[in-house]
Amino acid sequence: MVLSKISSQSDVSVHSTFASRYVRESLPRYRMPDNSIPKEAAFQIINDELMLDGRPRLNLASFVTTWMEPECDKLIMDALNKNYVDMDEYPVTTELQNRCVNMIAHLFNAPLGESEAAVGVGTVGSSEAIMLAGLAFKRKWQNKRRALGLPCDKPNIVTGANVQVCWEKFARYFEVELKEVKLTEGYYVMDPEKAVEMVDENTICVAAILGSTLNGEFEDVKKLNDLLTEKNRVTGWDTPIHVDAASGGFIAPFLWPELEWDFRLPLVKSINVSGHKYGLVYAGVGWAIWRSKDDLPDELIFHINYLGADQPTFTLNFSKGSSQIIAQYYQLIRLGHEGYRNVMENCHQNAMFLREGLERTGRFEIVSKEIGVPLVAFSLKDNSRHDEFEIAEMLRSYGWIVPAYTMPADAQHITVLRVVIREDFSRTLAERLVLDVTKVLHELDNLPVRLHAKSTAVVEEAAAAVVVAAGEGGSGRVNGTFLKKTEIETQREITTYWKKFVANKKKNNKNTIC
Amino acid sequence: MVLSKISSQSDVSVHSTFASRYVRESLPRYRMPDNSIPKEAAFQIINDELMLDGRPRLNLASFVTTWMEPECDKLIMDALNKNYVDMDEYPVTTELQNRCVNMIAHLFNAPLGESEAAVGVGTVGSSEAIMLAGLAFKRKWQNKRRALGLPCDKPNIVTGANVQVCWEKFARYFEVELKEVKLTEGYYVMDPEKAVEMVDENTICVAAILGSTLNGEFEDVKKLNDLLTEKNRVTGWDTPIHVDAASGGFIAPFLWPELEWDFRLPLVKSINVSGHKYGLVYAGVGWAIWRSKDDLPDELIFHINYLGADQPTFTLNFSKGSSQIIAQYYQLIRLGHEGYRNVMENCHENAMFLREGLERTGRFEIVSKEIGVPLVAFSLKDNSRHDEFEIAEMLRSYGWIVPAYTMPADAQHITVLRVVIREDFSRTLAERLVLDVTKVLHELDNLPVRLHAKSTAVVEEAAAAVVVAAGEVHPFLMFCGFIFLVGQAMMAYKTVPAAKQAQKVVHMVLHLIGIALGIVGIAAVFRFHDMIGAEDMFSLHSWIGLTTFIMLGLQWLLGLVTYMFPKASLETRSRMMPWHISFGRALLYMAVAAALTGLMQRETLLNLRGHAEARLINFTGLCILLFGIFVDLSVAMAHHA
Repeated sequence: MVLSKISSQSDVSVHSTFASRYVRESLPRYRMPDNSIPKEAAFQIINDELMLDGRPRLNLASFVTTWMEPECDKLIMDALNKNYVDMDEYPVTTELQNRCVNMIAHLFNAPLGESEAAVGVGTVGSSEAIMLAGLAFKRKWQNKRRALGLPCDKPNIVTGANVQVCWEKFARYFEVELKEVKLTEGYYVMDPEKAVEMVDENTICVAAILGSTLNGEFEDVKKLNDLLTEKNRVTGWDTPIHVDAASGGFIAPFLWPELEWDFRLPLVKSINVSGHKYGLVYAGVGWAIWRSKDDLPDELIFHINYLGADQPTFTLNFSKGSSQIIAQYYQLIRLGHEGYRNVMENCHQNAMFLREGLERTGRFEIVSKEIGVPLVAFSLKDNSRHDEFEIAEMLRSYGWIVPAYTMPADAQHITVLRVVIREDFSRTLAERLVLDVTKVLHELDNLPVRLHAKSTAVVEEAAAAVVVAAGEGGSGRVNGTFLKKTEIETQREITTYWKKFVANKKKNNKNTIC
Repeated sequence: MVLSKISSQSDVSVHSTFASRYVRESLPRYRMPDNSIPKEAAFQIINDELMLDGRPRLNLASFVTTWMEPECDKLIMDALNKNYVDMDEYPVTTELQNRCVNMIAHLFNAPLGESEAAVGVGTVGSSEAIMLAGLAFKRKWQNKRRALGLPCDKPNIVTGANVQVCWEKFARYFEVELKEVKLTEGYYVMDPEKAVEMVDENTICVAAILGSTLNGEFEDVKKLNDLLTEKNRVTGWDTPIHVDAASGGFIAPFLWPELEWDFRLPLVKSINVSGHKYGLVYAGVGWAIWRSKDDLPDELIFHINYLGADQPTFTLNFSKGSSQIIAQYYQLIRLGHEGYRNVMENCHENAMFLREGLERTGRFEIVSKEIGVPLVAFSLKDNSRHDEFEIAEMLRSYGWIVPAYTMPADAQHITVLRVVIREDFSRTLAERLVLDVTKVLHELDNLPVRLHAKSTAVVEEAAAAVVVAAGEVHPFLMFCGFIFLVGQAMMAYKTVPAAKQAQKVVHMVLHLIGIALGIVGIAAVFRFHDMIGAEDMFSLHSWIGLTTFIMLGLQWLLGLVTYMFPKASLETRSRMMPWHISFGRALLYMAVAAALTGLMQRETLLNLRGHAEARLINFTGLCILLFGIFVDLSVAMAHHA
């Protein structure tokens, strides 16, 4: 008895987790603690803190897959401690990666012979894939210019202004000028004609987006290809096309197989696609596929032998887990063409359903297209009283995360809300969302003032205008209901005034008292 | 009943997994299959194929963590579907990342004020961290040069030749010249003096390695800092230092806290460290830490708002899982200073134990240092007979994966084996490894030939020499003993001018010597068969030869008993004499037959058709035959005379 008591006192992990002192004492936040704590306590502390994170499944902002089958979870778990670059040690994992590359290359109609291997790599995501593809274009262009004895210090790349931030990143980090085709109101993708106009001899490639992040629209790659072929013929240049199919790469081949955007077009030299978007794998996998060996300069490929065997690699990262690669292979063989088509059709139909539901409210303008990535982007027809940011904020209290964002330069005055329809977004959830949006609209209608802090100046002005208008209206009419309304309004005005007063006081006293 | 039967037929996943048709039919390898398959089948197919991958835990080649506590596995699993960049949606995950950055910055003695936040990012690994750090140096240098109106198109970076491949990658992808300080034999890290000599006005930074991948040695960052400070003072440049502490960053602060290599040195502006090495997290996390905000140019930081809020980011990747970040935080708070120190001390002690065990074999030169990353790098003192690649290959059959690799340029003739001691490499495993290495050495010693394919030319030459030496002993001894000496013995009664009794003794002794040589010759051939792994007693030659040998032995014994000691009666002796003579003559022919078949066998086995040696063999064979006939005739004639 005595013995067991002593051992229980010394061994802290014998206490129940929540009874241990680690739950009472706080850990240093920004320094490593001096002593170890039991693993149960560490688990519980982190787990409990993470409860405050959003629920990934309700995140309608992101394309990234948040659900996979439990079987696949198990495969992922088993592969967690496998290092993907250690190709000598894990030959099967490497083989699975190669199979994925080949499957995706065939899906994109790469012109491969019967037993020809596709050229491509698995990456951490589309960002890495885009940087690798961009680097290949840059190096190829440099080599060509050097061979001709021409200067090669001012490369540029032509894209639409709707590109994802990683293109800007590529441009800035790898010192390539980014020439953006400006958007116009109502046309939120790159205009092929304008793009081709911008191409000059220093253009390393034109990047087309299959599935714009803003509204999911597909750019017209075929037209771009035709126009660029013509321009190349006239000028004698050889400007290629890269297709950024991060979100659309797994949509178009299944829903619109006859749409020509991939390697069927001769100028398309490389394509990137995110495995973790509609490839239906958790975050952390992307693919870069090249048309042929010639499009990937040899000098960029590294051969290393230090882990035991010769390994050709083209990557910005080195060691990383191999679970995502295995998960991608699982999805490809598990679902096959049939399964992917079913999933994408479901997503598309749910998107159409949501679109109709939102249209029915009569308050929204739908910005997304029917042919495109299954998402619904919409903006208020009339955002003079309330804007999209307010809707986003109020939807959050219902548990929905629907991002609102402004369009890029030249369409900056337009704000859209975007709902991404993923595999796990069911019809029921879509119905619920329409219901909640309607509720939010109602609530907002009953609120007189914009609560959003971002445009305080505008708000104040508008509020003043409203007050004046209300005062004038009140004096002019004897309608009972109207009077009542103004009463509520005056009450609200007073509370807002006080709120503002207190807030200002707090703001001013921040440095001295608080 | 009927209903349930129908449903079971239609729903393939009701069958037991291995009974479903998906295990029998093969999937297209390089194309997406047209139809879906049940998830159980997909799981089983992939799972079974992955059984052929190596076992991560026994991989002694890699620094990357292969074991974590089950609690942490659970946290990882729960966070798999969280996207790390979605900072607005997962604020706690972002907060945990910031805490990790701060903890690591404090660990590296970053000069931070009380409530000052550290500057750093979580990355996929040290490669990304290095590229980000290099990019920051390049941009800072460019900005400075541009401000001064100087050209900025030829940046370079100075490192030792022992750097990991990602530095080369950075140099090539970001168009920076890589100036490598050459290694010399016995000194496998960057020499600070030579490095500082190589620094010029275009040098964006000097990269020092804390824990060289080759032998785990720490470079002398303090000396580098002092020399570079002096050079900067003289020239007016401002060349900074980056420390690549991918493997050593979580070792040095715990085992040698007084070693100055980190932000305590004023020129060290950024440090990268791999969370997935001695940070004790699974593959997929690294950290880049900057000294202060000024060392990270603002223009490289991207502020994006499209996922819902303003997010400053500096990364080459975008979406990725957040499990590794959470796992890193788990390890940091779970273990604390105390736990990390314990783990690192264990690793170090096990490394020392292994080192001693290997030194005790007396066959290895230890290339790794005692102060450094816990690994043991060793090379053979004498690799003339067997090399390190052979040892690596043979260890593989015991289940160990120990890589052998050649050193970089200028020390290229040296090959080392490297064993990385990770947290999960216990003393028992270390003991077992020493045992297995000893076994492998024994096996190799017993092998005369290098079996390794890499040095085929050398190996074949050596092998041929040994084989010829061993193979040549047998025919020579057998001819001397069985044919020449036996023949001489048979003719002794004619050729030795002495009394009958003395002739008899010579006859007996010559036979005895012949038989002795025969024994040695036969022993030699059995040994030779062992060496080349050939089967014994498989040819006609061997059968005839061995029979001859045994019968000659019996004949000799019978002769000894009958004619010398204890000597039979005269009558018996004379009755035995024709038998003795005839039998002896027959044995001579048998010996000749054995020799001739032996020669034939040699000719066919070595495939000597059309070779000069074939003619020599023919000539020898003919001589032996004629010699045999001559001896036999002389005996027969003498008898008749």
